[in-house]
Amino acid sequence: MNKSILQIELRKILPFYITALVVIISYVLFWPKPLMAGDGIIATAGFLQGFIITWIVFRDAPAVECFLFSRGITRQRLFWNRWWLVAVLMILMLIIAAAVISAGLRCLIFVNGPWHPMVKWYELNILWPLGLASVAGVSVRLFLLLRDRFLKPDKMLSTIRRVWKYILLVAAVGSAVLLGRVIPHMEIAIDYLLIASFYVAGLLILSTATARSCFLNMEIHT
Amino acid sequence: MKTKTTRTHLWVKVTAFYLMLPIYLSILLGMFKLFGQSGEYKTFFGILPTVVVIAVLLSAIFLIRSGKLAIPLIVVAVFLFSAMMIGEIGGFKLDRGGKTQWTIEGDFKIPGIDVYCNDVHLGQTPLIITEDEFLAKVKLWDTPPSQQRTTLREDDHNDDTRFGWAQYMWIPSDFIEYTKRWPDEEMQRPLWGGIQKDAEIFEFCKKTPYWWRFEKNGCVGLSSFKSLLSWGGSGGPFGAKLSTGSTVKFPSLDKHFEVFIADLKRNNWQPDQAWMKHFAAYKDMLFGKLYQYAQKHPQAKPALDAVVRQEMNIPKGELSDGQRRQILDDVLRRCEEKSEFRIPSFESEASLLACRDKPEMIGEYYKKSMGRSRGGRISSSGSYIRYGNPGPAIRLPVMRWVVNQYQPPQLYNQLVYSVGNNAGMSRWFGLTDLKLVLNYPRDESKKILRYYLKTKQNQKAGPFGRAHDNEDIIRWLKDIHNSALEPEIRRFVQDNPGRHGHELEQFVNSRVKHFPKESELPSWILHYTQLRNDEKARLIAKLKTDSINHHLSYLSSVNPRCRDKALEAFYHSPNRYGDEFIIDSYHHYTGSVVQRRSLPSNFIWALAATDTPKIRAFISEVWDKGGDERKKLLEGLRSHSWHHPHMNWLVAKIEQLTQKDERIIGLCLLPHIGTDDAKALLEKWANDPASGVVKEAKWRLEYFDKKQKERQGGVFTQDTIDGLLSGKIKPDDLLVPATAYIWDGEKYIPEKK
Repeated sequence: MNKSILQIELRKILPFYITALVVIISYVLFWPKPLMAGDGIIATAGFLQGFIITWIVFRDAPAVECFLFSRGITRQRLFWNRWWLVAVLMILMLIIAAAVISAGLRCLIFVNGPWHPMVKWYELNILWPLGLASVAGVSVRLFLLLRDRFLKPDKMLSTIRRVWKYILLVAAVGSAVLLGRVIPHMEIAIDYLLIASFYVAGLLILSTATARSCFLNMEIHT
Repeated sequence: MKTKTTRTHLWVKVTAFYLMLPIYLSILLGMFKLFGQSGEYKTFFGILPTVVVIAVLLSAIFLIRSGKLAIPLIVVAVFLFSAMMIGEIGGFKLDRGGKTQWTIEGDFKIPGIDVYCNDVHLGQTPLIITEDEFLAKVKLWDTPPSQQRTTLREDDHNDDTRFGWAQYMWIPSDFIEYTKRWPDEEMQRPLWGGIQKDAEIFEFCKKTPYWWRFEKNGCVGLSSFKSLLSWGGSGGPFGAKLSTGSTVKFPSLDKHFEVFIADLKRNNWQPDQAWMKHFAAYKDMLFGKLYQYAQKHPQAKPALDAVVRQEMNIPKGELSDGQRRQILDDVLRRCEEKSEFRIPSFESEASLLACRDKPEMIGEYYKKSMGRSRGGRISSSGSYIRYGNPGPAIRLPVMRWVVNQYQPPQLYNQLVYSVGNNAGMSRWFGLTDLKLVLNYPRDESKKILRYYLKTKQNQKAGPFGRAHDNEDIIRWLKDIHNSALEPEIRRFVQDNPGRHGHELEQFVNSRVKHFPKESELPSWILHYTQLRNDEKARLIAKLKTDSINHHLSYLSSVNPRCRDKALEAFYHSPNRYGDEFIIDSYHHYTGSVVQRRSLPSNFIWALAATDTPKIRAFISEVWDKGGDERKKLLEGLRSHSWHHPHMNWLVAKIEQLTQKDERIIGLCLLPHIGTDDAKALLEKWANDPASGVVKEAKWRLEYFDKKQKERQGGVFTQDTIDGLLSGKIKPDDLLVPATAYIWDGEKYIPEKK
């Protein structure tokens, strides 16, 4: 990766990323209830984190955009650089959360002495909602951001359309949660985490492909 | 360039559709849930909404492809909302279109009871039938049928089988009337709510066109259909699911089993061929009884073992590894075929037989069965449990049962992992595994329990905490019987007793059952449980430790009712540890504070039932004092019905009585004692004019013989036993024939012959 571009990206993202890291890790450390796969708070936090990080990394002010796209680095490379940066930040967040749990720090805070290993490994379940929601957040933001820039390069979206878009987004996430609750209770026994994983993986692939295509083909306005 | 942007547009559309996929799927699922269930949406009511949903979805996809995302979603949302409103709010008001589905559970302990309605055989319990199917099969009856009717006294059979003052062979019940009730409050009203008088019941009979009958192996079962267990939606388009938990009781079963066991005793507890053949013919009815009997009478265990081996084709003698695996595979296959596992059952016993002393095999099968279970039902009645899981998922409850019985050490870590990995602290499946883990006698269990209780406390305090969480936890904790965890468990229960006494009483009862000899338990029950004092006394009286005397005396000083309750408990299950309390009760009843003309029944029964040196010394002391005190005690012992051969030592004392009135009372005690010595004394006095009580002794001797015949199963002659086993006598023939009644247009009247 081009060092100077990386520096720019990091300067953009680090304040938010560190804040998000502190918030999420504090939750993982100090939340007095057991951490489990169905943790709605961490899922929401993960989603917002992915959403906002993607927005910060991929969004360029018009002046910077024009500067960036006039450099020697290709659009293709720029896209993948940013994509990998987001991916690394997400993975780093997961690794830190996993390390905090598996080091038994929660056990030290809540009980005098290490807990039974069962509890520790059990709490690693929280990595599922954190990871899946982060990826979903990244995918959704990636798709929406670059789609908007591709389709509407020269004018702001109307307020109604913008609100409607977010209503749809909330409906989609709500439905996914609903499905996650309904499907495991149907006659076919499927783990909702499995369904969510497949869905989110598909979403990531499609949104990356779409965003990449939009990124390569969008027009730059000065 | 144009091609590239077109491709980008396509990517955008596909991704947008994919992103919205959960919305469409949930709409689709919601529609199927509202308008039909599996197998039902081929019908008119099911296919119509399905077509509409598919059409709406296709149009949505088409509109999305043309770039309009909002319109189809608005249409779908409005459609879904209106469908939900019709289905959920107005559904029961509309015609249910024959989709109502009834489930008749029948008896919990006896599967496969034949169900007849208006003399049409509908199937066996648990019977599932839709309204359409029922109406097609069953024709209405204009008048109530002639039938056997047994008149009852108030205290007779105070159970679900009585209708006012009688039991009926044909049971009136109109489910269809029930399903048409509206509004909701009417549906909550039980079918038989409040009807107690015969006149009201006759009025109900007159109106009822459906008459039900239960039968198993030719034996008539009685039930009541007094209420429905549950009802709800999801029975198809605008339908309802109704289920009745109506218990079916077979009046002949107790006598049938007595005769059956009498034959086993006659053969010195060795089952012969005729006995085994008879068992095979009535296995569903007799198995539960035999199992319970064998728990109390270990002599019957070989017979239980023999019937299990016969049913499951298990060879006699030691089993090889291959045979054990074969048996366990058979058990699992049978459970899979039935999609249910009952405890106790042939399967539960055979699984224990196969896995005895084979911890590796248990571990292997348990691991194989893990991960197959997601869903399923569990129901229980007393010590009977039934798991209903579809297909291979039933394997897990079977293996859990085996693991809980044998606790193979190799499996411990695996179970701990499974609890942790299965969202174990919140889900039912995880909690079941957690119970298995906590019942292991391991040190780690303490930490795990502490974690669980802490978790539950936190959940309770959280935004989704429920007020009745404590009751759930207590109900769950009662199944953990690990003495190392008892202090922790009891501390939790004493701090969080729950709002209703029921769970707490069940919990304490389980402690009494599993830790009867623990010396600290009476004190814990007395000081730390929030039960009523008389409940505490009843439970403490069951414990087998010396300290109960002190605690019961204290409770009785606080509330006199506690004394009565404790003595009642001693009478029902004699407890040698309570002898001091019984003696103390005598002093209480004869002391200066409470002067009673006669001693209370519960005291006499408890005294007669308890045989310890202290009790003997006490009775001897009162006896030797003579005078009013002896007379009072003798009167008490005479006027109550009991039978305790251990009181044989009293015969010598009765013989020493010299006064006629005392001898007459003493004579009355001899049939209660019922031993050869007692009979010899009766014969001696009956034949000796010098005794002065010849007439009374002769009369008592007759009574003695009558009682002895009854006790020895005199009503079951050898002919009766042979007749039953050979099939010449049917179990119902053992009953006193009930009177036949006919319907005279207004009421049931005895049939004149």
